[in-house]
Amino acid sequence: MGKKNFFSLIGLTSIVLILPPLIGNPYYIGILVFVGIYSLITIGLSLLMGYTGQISLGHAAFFGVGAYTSGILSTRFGLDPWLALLASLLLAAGIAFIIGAPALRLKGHYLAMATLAFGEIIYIVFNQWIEYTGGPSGFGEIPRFCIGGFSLESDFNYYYFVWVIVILILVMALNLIHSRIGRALRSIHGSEIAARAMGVNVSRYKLQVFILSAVFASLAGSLYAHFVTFISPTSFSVMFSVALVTMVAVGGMTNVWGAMVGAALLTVLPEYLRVFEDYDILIYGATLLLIMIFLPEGVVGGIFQLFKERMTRRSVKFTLNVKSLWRRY
Amino acid sequence: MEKILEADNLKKEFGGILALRGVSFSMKPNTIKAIIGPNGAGKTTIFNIISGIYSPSGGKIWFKKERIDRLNSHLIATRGISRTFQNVQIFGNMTALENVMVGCHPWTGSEFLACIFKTRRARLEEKKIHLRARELLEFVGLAGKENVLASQLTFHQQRLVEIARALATQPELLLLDEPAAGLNLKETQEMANLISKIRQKGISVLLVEHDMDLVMGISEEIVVLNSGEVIAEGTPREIQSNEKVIAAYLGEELNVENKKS
Repeated sequence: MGKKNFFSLIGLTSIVLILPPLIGNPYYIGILVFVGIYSLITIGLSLLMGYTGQISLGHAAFFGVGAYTSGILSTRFGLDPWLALLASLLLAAGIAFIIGAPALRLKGHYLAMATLAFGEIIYIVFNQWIEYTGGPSGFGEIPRFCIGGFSLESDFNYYYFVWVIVILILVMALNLIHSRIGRALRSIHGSEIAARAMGVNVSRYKLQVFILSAVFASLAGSLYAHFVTFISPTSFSVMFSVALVTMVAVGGMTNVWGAMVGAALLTVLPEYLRVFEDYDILIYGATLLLIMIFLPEGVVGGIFQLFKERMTRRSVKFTLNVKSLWRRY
Repeated sequence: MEKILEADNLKKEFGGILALRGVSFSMKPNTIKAIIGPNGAGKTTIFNIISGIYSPSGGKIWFKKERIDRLNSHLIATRGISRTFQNVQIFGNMTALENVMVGCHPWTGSEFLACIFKTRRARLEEKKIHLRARELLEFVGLAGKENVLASQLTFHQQRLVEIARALATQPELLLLDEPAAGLNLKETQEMANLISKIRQKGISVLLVEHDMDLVMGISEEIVVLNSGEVIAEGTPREIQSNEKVIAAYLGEELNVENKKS
């Protein structure tokens, strides 16, 4: 996986360990749990979109499938949360297979449209299948996980639980990226014809990475349901799919680290913007706009680029670029 | 002698236009064969059919006695046919080395989960891929460019990366689509040497090329195509003196007098 990623992982692990005692406030710990949960989705989404070049506007639905399956099985059928989680992963993989096999034959906007429609269908199911989902008002009393009789009731414990999973998933994603399959995925993004001519089974790998990202999203959904203990359809609407894609784009499409930074930024930023009261959405939008104008490669890629430019003493050229950008916009 | 490649009565139609009207030719193992002909003669179409990008409207292709005309592109690559593209198709967002490493795909087998969990086998394979890719970059003369992004290489270097990538699949037959297009005289000469070197490794080369010096210099056999039909086949010497070929390239001699009057 390379030295750079290894040290980044160590850095991330230490931040994860240090942060809770530094913050202390349980509300903020809760937000960091959400950052972890969303990171799980954006890591998968970055493999699908950034590396393989396949857009999905339906990942909120897989997130929802995970949450609802886990929630319904553990409340209405009294299943152990762990078994419920496992079942939801399998279901998400199955759905991703059925949806992905035809949809991934589509390209660009058409694929985006198809996944968007899928997301909408699932959203309608959550709203209408009242007997199990509770309809628009949702349902609650979802139990939390237990590890060997040790309940993850406190937010602190849940924080560590979620972030251990995030780091594990991150390691898996990095392993994949730096393997023959990872390179095959990136080659599909580069040129499908050439990828095929190199013996890469394009449709198969597209489907596999789609399923993988769906399973990651479903895992996040289960962790979400057993954390908030109450779920309703609004958390899984198409708007959330768009928010997920935005997280990946803002953080940096072609970088799993970027996907995490994007998730963190877009989850934490609104909290800081609360002081602006009614204007928070305006400032939120403006921030995203500025990031995309000045760091089109995303925050991580952009900052890395900046750093590199400094190192090679081409900072002059960069400031010129910024000036010309100003003129253009 | 055994044939490595045999095309029988290949036809290809694009919306009513016949790009190939029954092309047949064959190729002996360990030779360099060229397909030449005016623009629009159907040369690249033949390449696209052999490599499985198009399926033919009619006709058959055998590669080492196996029918391949209905196989998917990636399966043909696994069988041992690799290619380059006329308009270079490198993976621009990957380094030169990574490009060549993609080429190692057909002879490696670690699957999705093995790669995610980085099993022992996947790690060993990764080492082999790395080694092989470096060797091949050196072979085509790009040692030292391993970590340069492919999109930042010169056109000539991109061509070489494409050839190294194609070689990485361990082909028995290499299809080169206009390897010298856009290259200067010196680079063309280097390309000719490289193609001969590839053949010395026991790989057969089928090439489409407009540069006649290159074609006549290195190929053992030539097929001439004109508007979707084979008009001549033979050694470079035979082709150069073939009347039909001269007519296709330069026009009929007989018409000259008619025009004067």
